[in-house]
Amino acid sequence: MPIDTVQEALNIRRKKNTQVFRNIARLWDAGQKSHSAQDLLDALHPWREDHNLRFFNVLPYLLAICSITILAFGYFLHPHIQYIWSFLGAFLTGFLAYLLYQSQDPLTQVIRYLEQRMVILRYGLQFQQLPGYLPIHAQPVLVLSKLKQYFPLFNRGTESNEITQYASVTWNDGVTDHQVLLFQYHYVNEIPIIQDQSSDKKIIKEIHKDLWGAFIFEIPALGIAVSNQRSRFFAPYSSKWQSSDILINQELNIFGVNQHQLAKEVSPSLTLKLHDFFQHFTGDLIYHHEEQILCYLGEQNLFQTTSKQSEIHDVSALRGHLRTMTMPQYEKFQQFMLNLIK
Amino acid sequence: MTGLFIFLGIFVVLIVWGVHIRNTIVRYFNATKRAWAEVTNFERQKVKTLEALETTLNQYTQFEKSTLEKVTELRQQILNLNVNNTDISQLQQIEKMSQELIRSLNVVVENYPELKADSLYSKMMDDIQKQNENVGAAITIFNRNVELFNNQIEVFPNNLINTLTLSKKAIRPFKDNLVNENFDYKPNF
Repeated sequence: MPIDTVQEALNIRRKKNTQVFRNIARLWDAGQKSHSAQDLLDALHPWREDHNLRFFNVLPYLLAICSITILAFGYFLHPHIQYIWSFLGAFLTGFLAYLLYQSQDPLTQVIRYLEQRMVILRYGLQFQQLPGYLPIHAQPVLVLSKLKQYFPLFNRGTESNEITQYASVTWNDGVTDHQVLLFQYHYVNEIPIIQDQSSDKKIIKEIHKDLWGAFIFEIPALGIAVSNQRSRFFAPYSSKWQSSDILINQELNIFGVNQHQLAKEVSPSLTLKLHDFFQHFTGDLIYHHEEQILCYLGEQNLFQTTSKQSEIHDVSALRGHLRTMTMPQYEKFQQFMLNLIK
Repeated sequence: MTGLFIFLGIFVVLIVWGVHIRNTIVRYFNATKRAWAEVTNFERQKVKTLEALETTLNQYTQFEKSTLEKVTELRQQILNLNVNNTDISQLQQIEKMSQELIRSLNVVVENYPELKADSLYSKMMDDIQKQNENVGAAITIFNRNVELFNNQIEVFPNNLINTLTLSKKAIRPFKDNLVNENFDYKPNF
């Protein structure tokens, strides 16, 4: 759009915003060139230029106020000045304000990019990539669909059941490497609500929900399903097991393919490990009965990041944000899952 | 008439409550018995591995006799463990011997590189490790059940129901005396 080009040209020519644009370009570059989390932090300090990471929009705001004032005064002075002139003046100042206004989008984008880059560098998460364990040529859509078929936990939505975000990572328990695929599952349910008792008019309400989980590969096919949410499980995990622990029986439901297999596989050690895991997580966990895959699906957001810095107005604040940025739920999940599977 | 119904109602509620408490005590007692059975079961599983270990160690003729004797003695102790009654002192003895055996095997095996390289030996040691892990977990579960059972029969009014209907006695939990001996602190209970 020509207007966009004019807007960009005007913004770049404003001195203070020019520096912010230069900072943004440097941040993109730093993100692309860094090979470790420390590299990225080092690239942000010392900065040796103006630190500012906020566009100045004082002039556009003043012009917008002028525009409204002209419009208001024009209304009161219309017996003396034709209103069309006031309207035209207000329009022109308003349009100029629009042209000069710089949105914060470029900053938001670069901060998002650096956050994601930090997650990749610090935690080794590869977003929208399948684990190396799977064939290289495998189509992600097909693989995810197959995995969803293996574990019928993904049919909660009546309208939509999608894995919207996924990331592969490799964990090491000190002896073995474990290939892991973390994911975010989004589902939509439609609920018809009758608006009026007298008429048949129905309002369809969509309820969107998210759950998070992981597929872990090369895990023994134990054929066990564990949940602290549901008291029944679907086939083939329909056989319920009572462990020898009173507390665990009160808090967890353990299911399997049949009692013989459950008696063989559910050892005291596994029982305690499952209890430890489910003390911190809410959801369902399945050791597949044929494939060497484990699936967990729960309510905790494994991709959630937290940081001590909330407002980012300059490069030092951004560095502080990236330095203190952690994924607490993911870290906890990794720790307890490794304890369970090793 | 209403008063009679209220009286009978309270009486029925009390009986149902008492039956519920009694049944819970029975359920907890049985769960504790099952937990004990799992401890002995996993200890017994070690016997087979110990027999195989004894045979393997015998092949190394010059192998320290004392270690071989420890294997035999541990096997015998496990076989004598009472499955039906919670014999805590014997379990403590077995756990102590088991720890000593693993420690002495780890030291002695350094002098026998062939034995150390023997895949059968490493597999047996892995098995013993796993079995020990399960015994440890089974003991934890047993102790948790013991605590819940003891609470169940000792708190009021459960103690009244227990005395009147079951007369179950508090079960002694498993304690590792070897570890306790190393602590200066002694709890006053």
